[in-house]
Amino acid sequence: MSLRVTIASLTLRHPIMLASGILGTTPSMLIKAYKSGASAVVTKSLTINPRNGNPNPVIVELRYGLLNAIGLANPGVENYLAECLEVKDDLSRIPIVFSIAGTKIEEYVEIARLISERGLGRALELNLSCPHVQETRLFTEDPKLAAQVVKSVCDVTSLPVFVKVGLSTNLIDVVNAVVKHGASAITAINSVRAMVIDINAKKPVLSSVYGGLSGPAIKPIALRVIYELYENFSIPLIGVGGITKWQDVVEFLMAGASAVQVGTAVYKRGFRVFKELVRGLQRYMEKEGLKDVRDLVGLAH
Amino acid sequence: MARYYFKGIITSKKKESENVFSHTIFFEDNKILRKMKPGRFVMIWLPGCDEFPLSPLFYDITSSTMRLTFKIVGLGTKALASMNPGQAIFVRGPYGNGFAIPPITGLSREKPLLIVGGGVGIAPLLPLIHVITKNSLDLHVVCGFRSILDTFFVDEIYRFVGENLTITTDDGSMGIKGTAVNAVRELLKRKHFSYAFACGPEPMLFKLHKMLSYKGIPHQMLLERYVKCALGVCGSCVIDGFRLCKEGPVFDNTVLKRLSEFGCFKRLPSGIKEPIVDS
Repeated sequence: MSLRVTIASLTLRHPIMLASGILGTTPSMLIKAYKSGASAVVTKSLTINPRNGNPNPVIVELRYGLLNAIGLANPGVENYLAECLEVKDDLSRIPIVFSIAGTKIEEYVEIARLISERGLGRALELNLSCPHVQETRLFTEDPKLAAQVVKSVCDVTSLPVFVKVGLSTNLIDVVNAVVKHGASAITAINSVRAMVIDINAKKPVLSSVYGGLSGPAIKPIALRVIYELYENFSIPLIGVGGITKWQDVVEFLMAGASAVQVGTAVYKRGFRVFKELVRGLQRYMEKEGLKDVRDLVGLAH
Repeated sequence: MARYYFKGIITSKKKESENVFSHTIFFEDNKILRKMKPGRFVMIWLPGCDEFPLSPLFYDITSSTMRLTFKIVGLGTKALASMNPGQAIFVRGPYGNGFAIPPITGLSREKPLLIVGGGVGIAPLLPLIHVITKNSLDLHVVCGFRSILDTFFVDEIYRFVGENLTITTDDGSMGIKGTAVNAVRELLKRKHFSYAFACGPEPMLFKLHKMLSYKGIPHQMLLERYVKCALGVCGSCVIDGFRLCKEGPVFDNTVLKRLSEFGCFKRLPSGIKEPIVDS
C-alpha cells in the first residue's frame, strides 16, 4: 500500500502535514512534530522584521475549535533562519515548508529570497489570508495583488510556491490569478475571522477583538472550498481546517486535496494525532481494497 | 451560557514587600480550584489590560478561594497590584503539570527533603511545603532574598518547618549573608537529601541543578517562560522541544539535563532567543 503523495516537487511519505501557526515558532518543535509522525511541517509565518504579535489574551478555547489572534508573532526571518542553521543537520532530513507573510510585495520577495538562499526549505507557503492582520488580508481580497505577489516571489525562487487562501467572496478569481502566475499548489483555508464576548466581563475576550476560528467548527466550510477548487482547477490542493479524525482526512482527499494540514487537533489530541490519522487512513484503505492513496483524491466528484 | 473565564472577586489585599503583593480571590464557581495542584498555573485576565500566568500559593475548595502572590514586572502585574477588594478578575486554567509528589510520599523521616526558593519564586512552593509537611516528612527549606526589605512568607514557612528554615539575603540584612545556592552548598556538606524541589530565578536554578545532579539528588524545578496561549499551540513558551505550558512548568532532573536552553536562553514575545543574564 502506498501513502506517498507528491505536491509539485515535494514528495511526502503520507498526506498529513503540520499546519502553519501551530508550534512552528521554533525549529525544535518542527523536528518534534516530524518525529511524531507529520509528513511535512510548515513554519509559523515569517515576516521581514520580528513581531511580538497582539497583546494577551490571544486565544479562546471553544467547544468546536479555537479562536486565536496571535497576530503573526515571530522572530523575523533572519533570526529564524539563524536558529534553523544551528540544527541544520536535523532539519535537512525534514520536508519543511516556510510560511511567509508580509505587508508589501517587496517583503514577500525578500523573505522568499533569503529562505531560498540558505537552502533550508523544500517549499514556500505564502500566507495571503491571516484573518487578524489587516495588511495580509488585503492580498486575498484582490486578485491582481495576489497575482503580483506570487509572480514576484516565483521570480526569485526555484522552490515550489504554495498559496494559502482564506474565505473571500472572490476566491475563485484569486485562485485563478495566482495559478496563472506560477503557484504550485493552493492551501485552503485559513482560519475564519470571528469573535467571542465574555458575558461576565462584558467585553470581547481577544485584545484585538477579532481573531481566526479554527478546528471542527470550520471543517465543512474548508471541505466545501476544496471541493469547489477541485472542480475549477487542476493544481494540487492542500486541505486545512478542522481535520481531527481520520475520517476527516478521507473526506478532504475525496473532495480533491492531495494532502492535508493539521493544526487545532494537535492541541486537542497532542502529537500522537499524526500517527492516529495515518493509521486510520491505512485501515480504511485496507478495508476498501485501495492500494494507492492517490486513488482517493477527488473520488467524490 | 457561554463562559470563557471564571470570575473571581478580590476579597483581601496585602503588600508583602517592596514590589510583591498578595490578593485573595473568591470564586462563586469553584471548579477551577478542583484541578489545582502545587506548581500548576492559571492565566489572569484583566479586561482591557493584559493576560498573564501566575502560580497560586494557596487554593482551597471549602472557602472557594485562591491566593495569588506576584511581583510587579509589567503592565499586567502593575494593574493587578493597584486593584482592591471588591473588584473582579477573570481566570482560566489551571494549566501545566505541577510538581509530582508521588515519588516521595513513601519516604520516611530519615530521608530528608529539600525545597529551595528564590525571591517571588517562593510563592508556588508554599502549597508544596504544605502538602509535604502534612505527611510529616523531614523537610528543609532554603529561601533567598536580595535584602530584608524583600522578604516575605518567612513566618508562614517557619510555622511549617521551624528550625529547618534557612534564610539568606545578598546583603546579609537578614539570615545568612549570601545566596540560596551558597546556603544549599553548605547544607549538602552536612546532610544527605533524597529529593529536592526548587523555583526562582533561572541562573539560581541552573546552579542548583548542577550541584544536585553532581550529588546524585533527584529534583524537580519550576521554570518560567513567556506564555501566550497556555494551551500548547502557539509555541511561545518552548524550551528546546518542550512546551512549558504542557510538559512543564515543572521539569525533573532527567528532562532538565537535556535542555540546552535551560539557564542560558529565554524567548522574547516574538520568539527571538535571548541570553539569560545572571543579575
